Amino acid sequence: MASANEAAAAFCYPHAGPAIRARWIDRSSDTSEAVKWIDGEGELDKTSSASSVVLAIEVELTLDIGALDGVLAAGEKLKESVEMLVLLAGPAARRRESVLLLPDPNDDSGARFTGSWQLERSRLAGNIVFTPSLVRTDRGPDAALAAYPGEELADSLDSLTLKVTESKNEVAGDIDIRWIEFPKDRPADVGNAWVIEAASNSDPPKLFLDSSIKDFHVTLHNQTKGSSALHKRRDLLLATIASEVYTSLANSTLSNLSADVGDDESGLSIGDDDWRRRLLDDVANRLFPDCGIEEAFDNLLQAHADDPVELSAKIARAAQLRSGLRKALAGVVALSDGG
Amino acid sequence: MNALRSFRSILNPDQLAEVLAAPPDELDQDRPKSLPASQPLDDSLAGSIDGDGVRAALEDAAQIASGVDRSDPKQRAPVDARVVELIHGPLEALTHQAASDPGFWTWLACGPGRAFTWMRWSDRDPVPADSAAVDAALNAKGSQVAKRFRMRSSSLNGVSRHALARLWWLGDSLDGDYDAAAKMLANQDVFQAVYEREIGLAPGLSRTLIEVFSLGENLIDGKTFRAQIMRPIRQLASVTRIEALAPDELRALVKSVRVERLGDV
Repeated sequence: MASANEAAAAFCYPHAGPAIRARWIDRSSDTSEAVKWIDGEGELDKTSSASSVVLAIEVELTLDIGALDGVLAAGEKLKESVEMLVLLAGPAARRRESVLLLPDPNDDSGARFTGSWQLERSRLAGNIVFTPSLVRTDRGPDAALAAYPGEELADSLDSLTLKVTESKNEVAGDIDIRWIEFPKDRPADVGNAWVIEAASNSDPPKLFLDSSIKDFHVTLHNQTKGSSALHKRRDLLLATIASEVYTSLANSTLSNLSADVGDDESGLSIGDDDWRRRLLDDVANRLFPDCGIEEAFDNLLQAHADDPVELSAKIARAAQLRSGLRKALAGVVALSDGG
Repeated sequence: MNALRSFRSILNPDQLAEVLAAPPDELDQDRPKSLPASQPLDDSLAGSIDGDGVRAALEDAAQIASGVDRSDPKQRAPVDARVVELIHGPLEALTHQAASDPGFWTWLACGPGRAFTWMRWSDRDPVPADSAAVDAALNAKGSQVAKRFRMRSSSLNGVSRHALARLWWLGDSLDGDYDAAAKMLANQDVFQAVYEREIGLAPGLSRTLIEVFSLGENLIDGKTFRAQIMRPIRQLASVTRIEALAPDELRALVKSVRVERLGDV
């Protein structure tokens, strides 16, 4: 067993470095509604209505055998006392475990490994990181090399992060809210405080808030109640953001919708449970309160076709009323008067 | 056309505030944010939990906590070992997903578990009568017990500070072995040193530590344990994949640290 003192300096023996390439595959039969795979990261909405209770993940690993020169003992074979593992680490789900991968039976080089496993959705939370790792499993012959069980010989840069998110739909309408640092994560938006992004489909819009603005996050997370100055400033910020987001999304949705209409008379490719439909229904109801919802919706589309600029101005006014911007503004103005 | 009636509003200020601010909004609702307001505990958890059993167990736990000299923290601390079964047992079927919801634990501590949480962690009287009183007490200047009621996140630190979540996850990690849990809780510093770190999640590590150090029988100084045992094990874990070790290999590793750092066998 390596001593604690020896191990204090990480890898006090030759280590092959990131010599493992990985390809992750989602084999779940019915998770297409639940898991989104983006740039090697899977995002799982734990409140999704997708029926699957189990995620099936498969991985294909390729090991750079040449990188093991000087890592294994002279004449030592890869299969003898070394195994390929995938380590799972998920603090929020209290998971830390390893999964053994087997050599690909169709590969003679001994460099390919495959494995698959199933994950119960009820045991997933937070971020689960899957990292390939080549690990010694039996005592090695050379004390100058990795010689003890558990010692790692090679790792990988191709880890997989499965993000288990909670749908914002239940608590925030249909907005996916994300705090990021604009200078680092969205340099093109430096100078803005928030940015709303909406795809022209049913994917939830994303509201990015710049956490690098001093006290922005703190102010919006302020939990004081009553009439404190901080509370009033927070209310004004919330009303301002809500009003702008509502206006922006309504306008972009109407524009995308009219562009999509084309020859199809019905024009609407969005379902009743689509956030865009719910948004436009809300706009229609506010602008045409005396009509039934179907008629109000038709009126809204017609108003957009007739004069989109005028309609946009009306939507902006409705958004102000809806978000209580005036009251929030009055509260802050009163503060500046010493109230 | 029911779309309008089912409309959940696109981001009005109240909803935005709900997302951005955690408790005390949850305290106002006296429920976890992910569960409907009117559902009783057992229905909320898909019928897998006996809500009455949970409430009764929490009342029993409060009785135990009230039976010690609450003015002395050293008297209050051992309560955990006596109640861990009461906290974990009735909620054993709780899924990890539900147990990783900070709102659930905040609600449980401020609602059904209010009396226990207060008596275990506060030396003041009386127990707040309702969640609003808890809210007021926690917001009072100098309150030291807020984190025992409100869980800000399901991080290891957040859990290990919460009055109920820490005991539930401990019981879960030991598969309901409450004797082992009591041994781990015999020294709160030892418990924190293991369960506040990711290394503490490694399968079998807590059981191995209990065995190798005879936790619960031999008293070990918490600071020594943290500095001389858990820190070296974390260092070892940077090169040794502890989660891949067989039980005897893990035992050998922990023993080697003990011998090297404490000089005994």
